[in-house]
Amino acid sequence: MGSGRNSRLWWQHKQGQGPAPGPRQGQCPWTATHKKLKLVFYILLRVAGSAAMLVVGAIVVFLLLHAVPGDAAMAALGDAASPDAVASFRREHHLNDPLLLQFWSWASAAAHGDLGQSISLAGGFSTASLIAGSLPNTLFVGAYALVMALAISLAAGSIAASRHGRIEDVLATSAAIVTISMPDFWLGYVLVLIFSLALGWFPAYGFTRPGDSLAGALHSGFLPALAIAVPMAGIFSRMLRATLLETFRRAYVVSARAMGFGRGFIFWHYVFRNALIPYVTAIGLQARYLLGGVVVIERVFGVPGIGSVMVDAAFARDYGVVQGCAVVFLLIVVAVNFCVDLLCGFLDPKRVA
Amino acid sequence: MKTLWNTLRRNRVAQAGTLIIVSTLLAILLVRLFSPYDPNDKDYMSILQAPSLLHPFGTDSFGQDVLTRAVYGAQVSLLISFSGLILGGLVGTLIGMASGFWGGLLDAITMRFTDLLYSFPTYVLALCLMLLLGYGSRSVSLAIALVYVPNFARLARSMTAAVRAENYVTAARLMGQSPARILLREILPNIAAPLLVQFSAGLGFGIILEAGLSFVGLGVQPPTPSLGVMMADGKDYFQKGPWVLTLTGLSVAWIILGLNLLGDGLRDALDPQLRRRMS
Amino acid sequence: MPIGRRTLLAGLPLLAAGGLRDIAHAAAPEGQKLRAALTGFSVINTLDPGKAAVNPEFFIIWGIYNTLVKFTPDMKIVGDLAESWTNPDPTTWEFKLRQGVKFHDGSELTSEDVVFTFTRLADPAFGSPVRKKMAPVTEVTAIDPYTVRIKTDQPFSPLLTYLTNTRTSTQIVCKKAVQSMGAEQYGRTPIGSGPWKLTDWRPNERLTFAAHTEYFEPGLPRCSILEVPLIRDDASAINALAAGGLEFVNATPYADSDRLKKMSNIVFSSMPGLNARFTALNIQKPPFDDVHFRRAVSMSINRDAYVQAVVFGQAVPSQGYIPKAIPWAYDETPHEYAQFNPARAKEELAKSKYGPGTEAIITGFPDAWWKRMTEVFVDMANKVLGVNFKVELLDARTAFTKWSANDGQAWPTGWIALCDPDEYLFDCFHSTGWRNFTKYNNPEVDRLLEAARHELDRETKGGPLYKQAERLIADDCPSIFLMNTFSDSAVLAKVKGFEHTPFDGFGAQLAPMVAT
Repeated sequence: MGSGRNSRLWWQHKQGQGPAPGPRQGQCPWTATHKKLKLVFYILLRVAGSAAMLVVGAIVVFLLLHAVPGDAAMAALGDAASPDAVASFRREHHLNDPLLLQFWSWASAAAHGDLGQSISLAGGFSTASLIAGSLPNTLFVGAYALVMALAISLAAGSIAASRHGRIEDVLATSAAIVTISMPDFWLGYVLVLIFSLALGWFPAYGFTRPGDSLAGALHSGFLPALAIAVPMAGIFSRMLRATLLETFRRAYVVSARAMGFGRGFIFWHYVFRNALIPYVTAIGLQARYLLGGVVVIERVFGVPGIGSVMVDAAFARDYGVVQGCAVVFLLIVVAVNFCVDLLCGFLDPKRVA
Repeated sequence: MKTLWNTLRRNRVAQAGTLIIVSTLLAILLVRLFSPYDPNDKDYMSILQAPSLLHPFGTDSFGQDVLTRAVYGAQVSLLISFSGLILGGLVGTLIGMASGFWGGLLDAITMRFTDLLYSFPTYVLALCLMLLLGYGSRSVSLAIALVYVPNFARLARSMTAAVRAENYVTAARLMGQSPARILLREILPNIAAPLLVQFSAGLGFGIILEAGLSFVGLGVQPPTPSLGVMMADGKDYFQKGPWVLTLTGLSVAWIILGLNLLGDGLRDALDPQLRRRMS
Repeated sequence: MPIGRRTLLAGLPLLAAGGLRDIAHAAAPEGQKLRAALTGFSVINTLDPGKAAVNPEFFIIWGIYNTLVKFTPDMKIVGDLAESWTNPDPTTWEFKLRQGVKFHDGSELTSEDVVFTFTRLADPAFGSPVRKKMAPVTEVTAIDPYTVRIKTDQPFSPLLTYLTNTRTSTQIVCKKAVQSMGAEQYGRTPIGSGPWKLTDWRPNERLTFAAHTEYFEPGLPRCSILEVPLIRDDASAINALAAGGLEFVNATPYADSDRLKKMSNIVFSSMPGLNARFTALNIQKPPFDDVHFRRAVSMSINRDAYVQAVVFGQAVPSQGYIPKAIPWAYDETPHEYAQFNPARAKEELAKSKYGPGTEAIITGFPDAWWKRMTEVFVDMANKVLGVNFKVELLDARTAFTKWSANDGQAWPTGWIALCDPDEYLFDCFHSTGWRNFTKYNNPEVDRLLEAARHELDRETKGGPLYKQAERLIADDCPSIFLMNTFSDSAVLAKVKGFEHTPFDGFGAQLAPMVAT
C-alpha cells in the first residue's frame, strides 16, 4: 500500500477509472435518475421560494416606508414649499392613490424591468441608473474586503489549527478575538488617523471608480476595504480553525491515517475540503452583511455605494428607489445563497460523481 | 447546569472574559461614588481638552468628562443590547422551537419569513425601523430584537428538530405530556447551551448596532450618553480631539472582547455536546 | 472624486515625506480645472430654478444661470443680465437687457425668455414652490427683444432682491430648451446663460461642468473645467483640501476654524453672514403661548457663551432677525428681552403661568451642529430657569411634517442666505406670511411691515420701519433669536480670484477663480 499519490486507487480515480478513494456511500443503478429528478425539483422549489421572497420583501418595504411620517413631496420641495406646490407634486406622482394601486403600478413595471424614476433623491434620474452607478462600487469594495479577509484568515486559521496549542495558535486566536470586538467604523477612523493624516499613504476621503481607473480604485479603496476586512478576517480565522480542528478528529481522517495516507495528503484532500464547507457557509453569511452593513464605512470614506443610496432615499422618502434597491439586495442575496450551496455541494466529497 | 459551572471554572478563556465583564459592571456600579463629574455636566470653558489628571479620558465637545460618560454610556448600551436581545431571543426561540417540534407547514412558512428577515441588510432594516418608531433607546432595543429573531429562530429550530428524536422526548410523548410541557421541561434545557452562546455573541453585536445607529444620529436621544452617541460626537470633532472617538471605541472593544471571550469559553466548555447537536 | 489618481501619485512622495502642507506639485494642471466641493449635502433633486427648493440646488444653480440683477459683496444691487432699469411709476419697473448674451446652446437670451421664466413661476399647473411668494408680481411683458416691463399690484420694495441671483428662483431659463425638452428633462440637463455648463451629473456624488465659452463677461470663467464633488462630511472635505485634492470648500466646519487659520497652504476666509439662527416657538400651545414664559426663556440664554459653545465663536450673537450685513435695516439698540439677564428671567418666569419644572420638548435635527444648537439651548434654559426641557431629534422629513402641522413646541432652526429684511420679517411674522407657521398675529407689526413693503425709498424711509417692526416683534418673542453665523470658506493659497460674499454665492463665485 502506498501513501498519497503513489496509491493505485488514487491514480485509478484520477484517470476516471474508479471512484475517489475513501469512505463512500453505496451506489445503486436506479438512484442516478432518481437523484436527477430530485435535483430538478429542488431547483424549481428554490426558484419559486426565492421569487416569493422577493415579492414579500418588496411588500414589506413598501408598507414600512409608507407608515413612516413625512413624504416625498416635503423632501423634494423643502421647507419653502407652499401647500399648493405640495399638492400638485403629490398629484403628479400619484402619492394620494390608494396604497394597493401604488404598489401594483410599481410592481407591474418592475416585473418588466422598469424600476421607475427617483422623485425626491435625484429627480428624473431612473432608479436603474442610480443603482447601476452605485452597486459596482459596493461590490468592488466588498469583494476587495472579502479577498483581504480570505487571505488573512486562510493563513491565520490554517497556521493556528496546525500549530494547535502552541504560541502561534494563541497569538492568532487572541488577535482574531480582538479584531472581532472592534466596531468597523471606529476602525475606519483610526486607520484614517494613522495611514492618511499621519503617514499620508492613502486618501482620507473619496473613491475612484474601478471603471475610471483600477489602480485608483485599489488605492482609494484600500482603507475602507481594510476596515471591513479586519473584523471579518477574525471571524473567518476562528471558524476555519475550529472546523479544521474538528475535522482532524473525524472518523474518516483517523481511518485514512490508519490506511497510511501521508499527513499532507490527508490535510488537503480530507480535512481541508470538509472544513471548507462551514467556512464557505460563513463567508456566504458575511457576504450578505457586506451589502447593507457597510453603509457607515461608505459614509466615512465617501464611497458612493448602494447602501448610501438606499439610506438617503429612505430619508428622502423616495419610495421607488428604496424598493428598487431592496429588490436588488434580495436578488443578490438569493444569488449568493445559490452559489454557496453549489460550492458546498461541490466541495462535499460524499457527492456522487 | 452544574457540569457547566464546573467546566467554566476550569476554562481560562471564559475566566478572562468573566474578568473583563465583571470589571465593567463594577465600574458601572461604582462610578456614581467615585466620579466627581455628572455625565451631563456641560462645561463650556473646557471643551475638547486632552486627557489629563483631571480628566483621564479628556473632555468632549461640551466639556463633559469622557471617562464618566463612557462608563454611564456602557451601562446604557449594555442595557439596550441586553433588553433587545432578551426580547429577540425569547420570540425567536419560541418560534424556532414550535417550528422544530411540529414541522410541516408551520415550519415551512416561519422559516421562509425568518429567511426573508435574515436576508435583509441588517443596518437598513434597523434604519427603517428607527424612522418608523421614532428615535430613542426603546426603538433601538426593538430594532436589535427584530434583527436577532431569525438567528434564534433558526438555531432553536435545528436544535429542537435534532433533539425531538431523542429517547426522553419520545418517552414524554408516550406518557401523554402536553407539547408545552415537553418543550419547556425536556427540550429547552437541552438546547439552552448554544442559545446562550448565541446570546453572548449577540450582546456584542447589539452594542455595535446601537453604536452604528447613533453614529448617524438615529439612536439614543441626547443628553443620555451611550457609547454610540459618544462615538458620533467624537467623529464630528475627530481632528480637534481624536481621543473621544478613539478611547470610546476602545471601551466598546473592551466590553465586546469580554463578551466574546465568555461566549468562546462557554462554547469550548460545551464542546462535545455542541458538536453532536449542531452537526 | 476629490482626489484624482494623477494628483495623488504625483503628491505621494511629498505627502509621505511628512507634510500635508507642501502641495506645490500636487496640483491639477495649471489654470484648467477647478475643484470646488459642496459640503454637508448630497441630495440635489433638480437644477430647474423654478422647482428648486433646497440649498445645494441653489448653490449649483447660481453658476448655471443669471438673473436680472445681482448683489455685490457689500450687498449693493447692480445689474447682471439687465444693463439698467427705471421706475416710471411706483408699480412699474422697466429693465433694459444686455444684448448678445448667449445660452449654453448658443441661442440668444431675449426678453421672451424673461417673460417665459416669470409666467412659469406664476402658473399653478407648473407648481413652483415660490408661486405664492411671487404673487405681488402681476404682469411681466416684453416691450421689445431687450426690454422687459414688470408690474406689481402695489409698490413693492423688495422686488429687486427678488430678482437677484440668490434663493429666488427667478434665474432666467431658456424658453426654447424648456419647451423642446420638457420641464423634467430640463431639470436634469439645464441650459442657462451662466458661466458653467453642466456636462456630467452623478447623483449624490459629483457634478462636472465645462466653461461657457460665450459667457457675456469677458475673460470668464478662467478655468475650463469645474468639478463639484458632493461631500457629506465637512471634515473630510478639509482633509482633501489640505492634501491638495480640492481648490475650494464652501462651508468649513466651525470647529476647524482655528486649525484652518494656521495652515499655510490654505486661505481661510470668514465674514458675518446672512444666516439667522433662532428657536422657533409654537405660540399656540403651552408652554410657549405665554409671552412672559417666552421672554423668560429668551433672557436665560447667554448668547455670547452660546456662540462659543455651539459654533466655537464663529457667529455674531443676535438679538433680532436682521443681520448686521444689511446695515440699513439693522437695529443696533439692544432689545430688552434678548439680553442675558438671569434675574429678570426669573422675574418673568414668576409672572408667567408656568413655573420652574415646566416641561417642553425641543425638536432638533440629528446632524452634527443642529443637534448642538438644540442641546446647548436646552442645557442653558434648564440651568438658569430650572425648567425641564428635553431634546428630541427627528430626521428632517419627520420634523418638517410635524412643524408645518404646527405640532411641536419649539424647534431650533435657521434661515440661510436670506438677503432682504422683508424676507426676514414679512414672510415670518406678518399674519399672512408664508413662513409664519406659528400664526403670529400683531396688527401693528402687520401695518409697519406692509408700509415698509410699499416704501420704495428703502434706505432712508424703509429701514426705520423695519427696525420698528423688529422691536415690536422682539417684545413679543415669538421666536428666540440666537445668533447670525459666519460664512466660512477655505481656498488654496495659490488660487486667485475668490471674492467672499456674505450670502455664500458658491456657483456664482467660481468663475474668476483660477490656480496660479
